[in-house]
Amino acid sequence: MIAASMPEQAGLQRVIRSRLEEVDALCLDLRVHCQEHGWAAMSFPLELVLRECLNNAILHGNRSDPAKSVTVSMICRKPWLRVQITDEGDGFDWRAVQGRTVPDADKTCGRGLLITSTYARRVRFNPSGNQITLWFQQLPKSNSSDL
Amino acid sequence: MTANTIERQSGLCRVRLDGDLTASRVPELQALLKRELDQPIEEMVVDMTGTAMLDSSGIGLLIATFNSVGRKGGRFRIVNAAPPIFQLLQSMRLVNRLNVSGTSDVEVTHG
Repeated sequence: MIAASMPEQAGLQRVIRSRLEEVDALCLDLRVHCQEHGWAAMSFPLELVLRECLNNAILHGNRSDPAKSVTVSMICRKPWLRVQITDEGDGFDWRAVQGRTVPDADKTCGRGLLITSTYARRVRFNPSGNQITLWFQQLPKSNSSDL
Repeated sequence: MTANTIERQSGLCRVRLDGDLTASRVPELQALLKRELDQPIEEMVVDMTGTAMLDSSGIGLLIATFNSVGRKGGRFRIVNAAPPIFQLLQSMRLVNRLNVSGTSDVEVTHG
């Protein structure tokens, strides 16, 4: 489980190995957690962005090195959720990809960071680029599908 | 473990995705599609009824498949995309390119 509960303000931390299957397991937990704690309407964008960032951290950051791990921390303070993902790689020049537009339709890669910036309310990298911090905002009750 | 299925009727190929199309699952589906593309193809339909999540790796595979089918002179389309997936493909400007229809659309089958 991600955490037993997530009240108005709560934190949690998970460390996963550099395997894509661990991303699936974490995201399944997240899906259930979103349903249980009032984030159902945000479940898809949250999971999507988490997957993009974790995939990048594992494949590009840690280069799938099984000895390296990825740390995920989440802090919820409604209506905000802050997610921070840190890998053990050397980082990358995130400044060079800022403002990147939609790639040509026949390109099979290059959409991960674009998806991240499209679905998260705010995105920030640390200077070296091996840590990304994301902010999500809970939708107002009237727009939410929570019962 | 998922079990994607493929139905063949001559040059018509319908791929039913079982579960999410995300990075860890791309290699398995890619191998399956590669085998299909070794045969002549007129149309490939990817049915996303069972798919709740699609990430950029999955999108990459769909584009690569579209490109391959096109090179062989075939048509490609995606049906029954859930609303969040349809919106994702819309935001990436791929709905028209990949001929995507959503779960709310009525699919008309000819023949």
